[in-house]
Amino acid sequence: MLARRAQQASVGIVCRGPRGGYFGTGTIIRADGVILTSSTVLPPGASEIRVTLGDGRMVPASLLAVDTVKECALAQLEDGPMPYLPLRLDEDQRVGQIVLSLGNAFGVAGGEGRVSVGAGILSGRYVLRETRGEATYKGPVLETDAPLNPGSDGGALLDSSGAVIGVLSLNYSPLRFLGTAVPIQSLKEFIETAAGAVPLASGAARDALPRGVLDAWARRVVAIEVERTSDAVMRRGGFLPQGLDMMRRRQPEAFARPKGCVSGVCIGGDGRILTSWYNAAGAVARIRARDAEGAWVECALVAASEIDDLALLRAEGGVWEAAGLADRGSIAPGGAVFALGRSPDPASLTVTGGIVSASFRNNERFFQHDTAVNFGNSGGALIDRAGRFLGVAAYVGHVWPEWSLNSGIGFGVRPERIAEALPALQDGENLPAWSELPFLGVRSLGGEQARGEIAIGVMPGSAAERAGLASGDAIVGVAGEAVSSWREIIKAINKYRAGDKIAVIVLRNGERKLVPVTLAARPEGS
Amino acid sequence: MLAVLLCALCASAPAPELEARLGAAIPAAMKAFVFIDGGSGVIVSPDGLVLTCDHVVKLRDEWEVFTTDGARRTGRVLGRHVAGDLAVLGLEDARGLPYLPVAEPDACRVGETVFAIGNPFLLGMQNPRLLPAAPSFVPSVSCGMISGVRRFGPVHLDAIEVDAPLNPGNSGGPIVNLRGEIVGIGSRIASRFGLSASTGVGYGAGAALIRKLLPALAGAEGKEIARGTLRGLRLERGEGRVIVAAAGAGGETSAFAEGDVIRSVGNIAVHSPEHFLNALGTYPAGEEVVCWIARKGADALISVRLAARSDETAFLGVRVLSDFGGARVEETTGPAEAAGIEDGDLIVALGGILVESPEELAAVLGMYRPDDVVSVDVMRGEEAASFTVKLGARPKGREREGSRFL
Repeated sequence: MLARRAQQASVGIVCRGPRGGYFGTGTIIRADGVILTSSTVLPPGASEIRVTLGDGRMVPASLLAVDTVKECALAQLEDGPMPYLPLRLDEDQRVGQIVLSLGNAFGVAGGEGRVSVGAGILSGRYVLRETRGEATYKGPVLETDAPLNPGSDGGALLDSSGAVIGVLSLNYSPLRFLGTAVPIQSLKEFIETAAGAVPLASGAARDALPRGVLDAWARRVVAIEVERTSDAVMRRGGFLPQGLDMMRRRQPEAFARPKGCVSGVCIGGDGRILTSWYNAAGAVARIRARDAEGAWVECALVAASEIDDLALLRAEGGVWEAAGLADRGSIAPGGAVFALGRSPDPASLTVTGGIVSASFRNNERFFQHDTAVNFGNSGGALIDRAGRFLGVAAYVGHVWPEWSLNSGIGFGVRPERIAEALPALQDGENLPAWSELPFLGVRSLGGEQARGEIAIGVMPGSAAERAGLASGDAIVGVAGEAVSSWREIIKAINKYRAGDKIAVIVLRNGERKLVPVTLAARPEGS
Repeated sequence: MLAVLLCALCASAPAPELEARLGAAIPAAMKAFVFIDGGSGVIVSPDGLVLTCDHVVKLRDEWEVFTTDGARRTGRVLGRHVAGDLAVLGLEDARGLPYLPVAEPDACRVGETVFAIGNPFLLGMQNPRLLPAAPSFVPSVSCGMISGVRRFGPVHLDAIEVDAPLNPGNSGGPIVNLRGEIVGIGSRIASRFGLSASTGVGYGAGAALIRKLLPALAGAEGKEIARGTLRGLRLERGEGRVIVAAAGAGGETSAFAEGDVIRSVGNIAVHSPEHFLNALGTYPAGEEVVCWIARKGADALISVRLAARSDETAFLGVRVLSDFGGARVEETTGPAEAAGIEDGDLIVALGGILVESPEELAAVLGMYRPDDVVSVDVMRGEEAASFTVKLGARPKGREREGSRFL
């Protein structure tokens, strides 16, 4: 009901302005047809204002007032009464509450009349000190992971009671690439001066996850600042396909590592912090982390694992509160996943939300989720609604640049993989990179999730073929260990290096057979 | 109570009271999911009718289809609808397959929680023949809500809009409600920052369009089904209304009279001439539809039989292969050759719309008609270049050979 009511009170706007045609979104905030929008939709001197109402009618409106500093504008429709949305002026806009965004994104209302409704979380509150694109507003903003696209500017950010809490803006933080809104409180005076009193709301707003969970996690998720001697962008494999290279030229900002802090999660009261490998990679000169009391503490990089996208830091002093890992069974498709970070403002927690998209990816190292992940929150914690620690938010932009910008493709390092990698990392041992892992040259005919006796297919020209393994053999042992899953086979092999000779035990025609294999180096691109 | 639950806000994470239902609906729906090459599809009948996007299966008549249990089947294209971006495949030797029903269109409301199943970025299935990795048949699922219904645009017709992330590879995959019914088929994403990735604005043919076209698609014997239209009407734009300026001299359009205000086609309210024509296009040619009009102040219903609208697509004159990030030109002819596009060029955009595969190039090309002039962006080695091409008509009489060219 709320989504439809909100859609009916939201309008598409087009007008003629100083630099040609403008379009965007507006919200009717009083029954007599007062429209609140952005100065990027109705600039000073806007004329020929046409408003597309929720029923598809296109009607004229007149400009009441514009404030380019606050990036807002008011217009008046000629006829009423109209469905409207009340404003919410109390200060209680909490990060983690459920919100709706209303937007004439990509000009959709021009064809159909009705704007798009999207849902999300009030994902952050921070101060923007620079403007971007058409945006003119600098100052405190509300951030959301609900959709916000060109044409959404001027639309309403609503709380779950249907009250306007902000006006959507085109400004954003390059650490986040998420939508922002000018808080409605900062527009109160402007609105009342230009239009008089408007209806207000004070109903309770709902949270996306329990407040106690967020409060507990606020002390475990930490901001990390990394100084580098070079800004070179990290890319897996050191290449980017040509088409993507062209995009990089078009949109360099989307791919460069932005200035600012990243996120991590504390896993030891003595100051052990996990973050994304990407965050600690490159020409690192200095790493600092912000402790549970808000003090910045020097950190050492203990060890890292590129293929797990994990880096372990140790803080030299400070006050820390540690998170404990969830168990293996608690990650199932459809379960809520929240990504917690501390960027761009190290002092304030950010929360984006989504679901588990797939329980296992990449040899069961990761799970996949659709929660918004970007430069700022990668390395932070992924938790479920009960506050269980599901994994570390992987940075994925060096694998596929699109993924770094909240594409709905995100990964988390699975808790049992973290537990498995931690002992080596804590000993200061970097885990081998993908290219350093040995290669046997078999695949599981039953897929990655196969259990029991693992039937294999043998790649032509591989170490397995040279050793005499055959497609249809079932592996039951590797180098003296009994194995009963594809994952265990991988684990057993990865303890060795190319050139090592190991014994593989297979079942062939019902008979156990021991086959000595000399492991090879990984071929390119495997 | 049910109505209240369905309208509960989803957020990007499901609302607390919906999480358990979502967790139960997903595994059931996944059983009906299929992988079709790099795209997705969904089984809609126990005897193996598969719904997918036209742009996923445009290039061939037969496809290798994998279900989530890893079984491989052959799917034959039974029918395609270009403007609606819908196609139906028939799986061979299929009986008793798990399938999903198509939702009642009126039940698809803005704000309803939905989830999308697909194979974005090929994460869910790596074809063992293509990659030396363990085969895996686990699609990705994303969650969101219906952001808009009855959306019409250059590449969608009576679509639903969702904020559940859709990405390349979600094409053809089902968008499903918490009752396990198909509300749409993922088709297009609005892009930003020059990136082909979710922006929270995704489109797909909605349940209303699917229900209208499914019987015709299943019985089209591999052909494209023509969209319906009315010829010979002259239309005028009113304030959010369509006015008949002159009725046709004969045939079905003679039911209209000058000055009629057209309010709706079937149950689609129409606001503009384009909107009216798009609404007609949601019906197959030959079908009889009822239009609600106002004539001299009184309401009236008139019934008209639709003619076929030509979906003749334009011809660029390139034979392309899939390559990372675009469509690699293998051979040029006609318009592309005349404009200076060369073998080896990587086509990355057509008419300013990024294309990442031959399928996407074909789909975007499908928006144009012969004689349209369009820009083609290519990468030639390390250099970006742009060409202006006057599109031609697909050469006649060379169907077999010509079909390899776009």
